[in-house]
Amino acid sequence: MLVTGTRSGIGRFLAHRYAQAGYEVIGCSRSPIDFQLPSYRHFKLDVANEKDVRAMFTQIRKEHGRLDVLVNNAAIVSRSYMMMASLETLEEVMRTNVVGSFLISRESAKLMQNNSFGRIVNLSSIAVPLASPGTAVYGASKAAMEQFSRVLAQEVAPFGITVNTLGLPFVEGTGMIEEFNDKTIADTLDRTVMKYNIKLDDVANAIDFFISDASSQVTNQILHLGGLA
Amino acid sequence: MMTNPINEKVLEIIYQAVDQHNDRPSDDAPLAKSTDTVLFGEDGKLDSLKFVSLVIGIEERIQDEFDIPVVLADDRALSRTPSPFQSLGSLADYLVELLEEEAVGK
Repeated sequence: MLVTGTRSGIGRFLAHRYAQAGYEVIGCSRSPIDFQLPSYRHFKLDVANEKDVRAMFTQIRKEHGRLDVLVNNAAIVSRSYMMMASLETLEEVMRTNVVGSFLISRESAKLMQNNSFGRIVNLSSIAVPLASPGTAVYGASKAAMEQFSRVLAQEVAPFGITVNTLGLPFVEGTGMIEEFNDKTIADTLDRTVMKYNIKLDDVANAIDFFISDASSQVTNQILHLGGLA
Repeated sequence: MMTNPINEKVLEIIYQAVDQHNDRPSDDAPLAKSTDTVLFGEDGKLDSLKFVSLVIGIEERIQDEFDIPVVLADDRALSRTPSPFQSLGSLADYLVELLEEEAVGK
């Protein structure tokens, strides 16, 4: 299993959870990590650096010969109104969230097809359907990821690879909530069915469903945790 | 097609990928290990998915053998006339060209 963006937040949680569950977990992040785990191997790289990404996948192929699961988690969050968003921010967010997840998905699919099995799970955001003010850059990057994933799902289905997306609201215990003001959080929750922030275990539960061997018919889906109201 | 040590090695790698391709369960006839084997076109032996799979297998083997990350099916290759993917022989020639460019670049 490969999880991108494991230095903190959801990625860090998933690395621990799946390593403890018996998976051989590979993680990556731009900055060094401050933990070590049995059954966990870390690559320090930028997911948008094609050369480094390809080198990581060559290493995975040589050491493991296969990749069963990818969780595309690495992302940069940006919260600025469009009229105030800089080109630099736009390019940085697109580079990590779109280029990075594209390269990682592409190389994962290549490796997965060798074994005629694969599960790709993208972590997206409720910002895409809600189109809330302040999310133009971040939401556009996640919308791009959702779009190429819809295409990828069809291209790789004959190889036994599924591609699904989780649309996440605010997740407790990730530092995500602290970055937003109370009004933004309240407005967002008001547009979900459940009306409360979700937990890391909720994310893992949905990923468990997507990556299950039994979920071979579950593909090209976007699951919005908390439910869109 | 040209014959030189690199070309022979590249062809050997392509044939290894063909072996892997032929080992996969399929109703189709096995792909012949010949420079004349047509990949695409009227007499082509591969549908697009099998072609993708074969190309990936070749890219991986080239990377392992030469430690050079080549991308075979990019815009340059796909827009070239005649296509490098016409036959296994033309594919080998194209790969040699890429490897030689990489060597000069280094």
